[in-house]
Amino acid sequence: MKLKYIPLILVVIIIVAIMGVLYTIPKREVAPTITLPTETKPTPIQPSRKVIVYAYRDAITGIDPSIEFDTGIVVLGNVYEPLLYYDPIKDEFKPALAISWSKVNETAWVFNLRRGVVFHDGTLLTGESVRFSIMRSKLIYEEKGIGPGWIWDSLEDIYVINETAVLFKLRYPAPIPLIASSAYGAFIYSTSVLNYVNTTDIMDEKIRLWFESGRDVGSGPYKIVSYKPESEVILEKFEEWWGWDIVNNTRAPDIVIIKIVEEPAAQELGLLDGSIHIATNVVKANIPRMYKHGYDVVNQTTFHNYILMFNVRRWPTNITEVRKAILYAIPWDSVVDFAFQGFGRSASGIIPFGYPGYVENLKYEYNITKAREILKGLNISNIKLELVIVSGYEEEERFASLLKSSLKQLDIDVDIIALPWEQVKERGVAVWREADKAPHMIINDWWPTYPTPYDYLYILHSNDIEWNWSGYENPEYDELIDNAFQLEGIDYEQSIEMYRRAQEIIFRDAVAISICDSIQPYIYDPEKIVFRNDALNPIYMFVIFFQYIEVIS
Amino acid sequence: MFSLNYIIKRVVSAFIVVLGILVLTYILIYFSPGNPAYTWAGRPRGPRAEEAIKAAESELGLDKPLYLQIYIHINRFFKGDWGISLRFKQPVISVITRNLVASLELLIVAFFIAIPLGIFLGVMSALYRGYLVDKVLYTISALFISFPRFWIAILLSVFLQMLGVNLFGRIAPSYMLVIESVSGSYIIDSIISGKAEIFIDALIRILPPAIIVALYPMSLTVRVLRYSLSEKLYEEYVKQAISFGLPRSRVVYRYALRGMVPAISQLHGITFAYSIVDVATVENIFGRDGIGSTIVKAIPYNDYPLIIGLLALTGILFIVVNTISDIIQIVSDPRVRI
Repeated sequence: MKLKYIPLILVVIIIVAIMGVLYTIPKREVAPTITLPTETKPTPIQPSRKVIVYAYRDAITGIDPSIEFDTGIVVLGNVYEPLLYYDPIKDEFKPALAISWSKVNETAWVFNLRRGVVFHDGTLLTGESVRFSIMRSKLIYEEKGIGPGWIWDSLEDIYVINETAVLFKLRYPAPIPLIASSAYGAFIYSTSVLNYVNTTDIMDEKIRLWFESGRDVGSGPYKIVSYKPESEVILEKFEEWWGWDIVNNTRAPDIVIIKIVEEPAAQELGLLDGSIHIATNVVKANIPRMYKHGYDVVNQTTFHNYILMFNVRRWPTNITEVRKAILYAIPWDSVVDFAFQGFGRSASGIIPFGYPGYVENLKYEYNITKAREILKGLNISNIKLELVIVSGYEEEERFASLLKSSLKQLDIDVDIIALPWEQVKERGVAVWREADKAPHMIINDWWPTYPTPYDYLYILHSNDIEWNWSGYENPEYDELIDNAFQLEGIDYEQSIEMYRRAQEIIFRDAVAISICDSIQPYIYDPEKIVFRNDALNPIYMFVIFFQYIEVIS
Repeated sequence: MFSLNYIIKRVVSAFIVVLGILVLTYILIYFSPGNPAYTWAGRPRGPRAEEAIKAAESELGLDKPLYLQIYIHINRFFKGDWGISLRFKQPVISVITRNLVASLELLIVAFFIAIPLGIFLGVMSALYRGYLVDKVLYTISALFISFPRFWIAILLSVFLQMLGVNLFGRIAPSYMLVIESVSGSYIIDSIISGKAEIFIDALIRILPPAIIVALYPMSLTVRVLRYSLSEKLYEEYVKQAISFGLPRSRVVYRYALRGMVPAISQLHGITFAYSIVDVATVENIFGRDGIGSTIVKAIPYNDYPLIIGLLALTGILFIVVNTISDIIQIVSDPRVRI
């Protein structure tokens, strides 16, 4: 009778054996070198090439260098170059496609271009390509309102003086070197794209589609080999890049795979089994454990901050004193340690540390007694407030729980609403239409386009109804930052002083405050790769400049 | 074999299903929170952000009445213009094509597990009906039918993570460079290019999610066979074959089971289509590319051309699979006329 069970037992044994064999194979270390697939099928891959896999958390939203204004920067930053880079930590410019620049007068700047720069399609950098790229950004914004072209608002036109010099003619004085080093909208590319799509119209939609199909005509150290925005982007070293001799990095990766890995656990496991070399989104609480496993972390100061905005049009957050009471009730010392797990810096005002216009001491102290007294004076108690945050953002979720438990001491019940980003935006914008349906508090995470304080402060301008989620209107504030912006190209010191005064107004009115200046950890295996100093720049968020990465094994 | 009536019926039902998907999905997205124009405009900032969103609304036709929007979208869809993905800025058809292969690969591997195992265990259950083996199989299959697969997938995924086993993705990232994409399926491409290491890697990564997807069709097969086959075993032609002294296994697998082929093919036609939904959730949990992962990325951004395209494709796939199961029925049972 027992024989009847034999087939079933055999099947179970076979399945278990197969699974056992498959899953007990030693975990494969991804070899940094790869070999040609076959001789008969030529591919661009050569033997012994150095490969880096960079795990990034979000899908790429686009790679048109004149239009993209979001996560595409991760790719664009390696494929394209601006005229110059700006290092906010050292407060200095670094030549890229321009080798020198000078102010002719208040409204004219000359840029001398680097000679012999070749785009990825073999065409040469010319003054015309500079004019074409920048004017395309500007015109697309002026005509359609899309993209980062607003940064060129001050620009009247670009005149090609000769093959290696261009003149920027401005409508009003502006700090053009800063604008030219913008993270978005300042990339230079070849005019040959017009030929590829068979058009002469700079605004032709076909150009955008051509770029978005995964092609490029940049001059950067890497070119696009494969582009799947939802899953991965493969870049290959551009041997003709002008900067290889200057960088002098023979160990720079030949192939870079930007892999979209949303799940933090997947990034961590990928690091551990060697299939990922650099991770950006590992659960922060697990990072000390990664140290113990021999991994290293580069903590990059970023200009990505999280701004808590109050709805100033809905009761009770329309009362300045209530907003202040809430700010006094936040245990600020715990925000960095608890909400950001130590990966942050105590914030001041809404401009992050190290960024132009940062002001010290615009901080609220934690004083629960004072908060209680304020509310008692107003005779407000037992209230319920809504806080909207982005779902899946670990830092925001932790901060929200901290705020909730702290405000409980004041008999304020906080209803935390975590939504996808697009819906957070929808709720934020509602403050201008139906203030009573917009949340009392909302967190707006922000990073700049180019280094001007105006970029941060404009989100409280009464004209910015797309981003000013507090509904704050103050003509004095608006005028101050508008004037400061106009003054940037004439008297920079004076404009910074005006920005400082504007921030004091916001602080006084308790409209919005940065909860923390975040620090972005990049986790990697130091036995496999080395980060050089210039590999990261806070202006270019999440961009790793791979020409400064060394693959050592 | 196939009557003209059948072909017309299939084409009309396919058209109605796709049309229904297009209209319903469009209406649902229309009333859901968020503005697709905002994604299309690339999250505009600066003084003209509001203007950019309005321009994008106009470009996408979102400023028109709902019925007109639906009409325009349907019209374009049937002309082969599925639009551009709002989030990825690429033609919807390109995004779908490259992800469809990944999902089909998982689905097919799942059915390669589900069908033989389901049949074998179903036969065992039928042959030993009432015995311990039958009771165990009956209970297990009941559990796998009732438990949501995504829940089992999460449990398995967490368990594997605790063991430190990384099975996220379809293949180790660096292997993508050494394999030439012919079919888009890493399993097939690794065989074509003779890369055993890549084949093993792809297989290891696909097996756990495939097993999860296989649970439902496998369990259903066990249940159906257990009931039907045990009845078949009492039919005259089976009894006669046994009385002639033919081996029992031969009688079961060659004669009794043959009579079950139409029912099994019809069952798998339906479960294959249902399993597309399981694939969509499971591949997302295991971080695999595919139509499910893509739809998850598209929904928060109201990327309606991509969402609609993916759902329409799922509907078409549903019809194609059911048609194939009809064909199998006809081939295996000449009495069937459709």
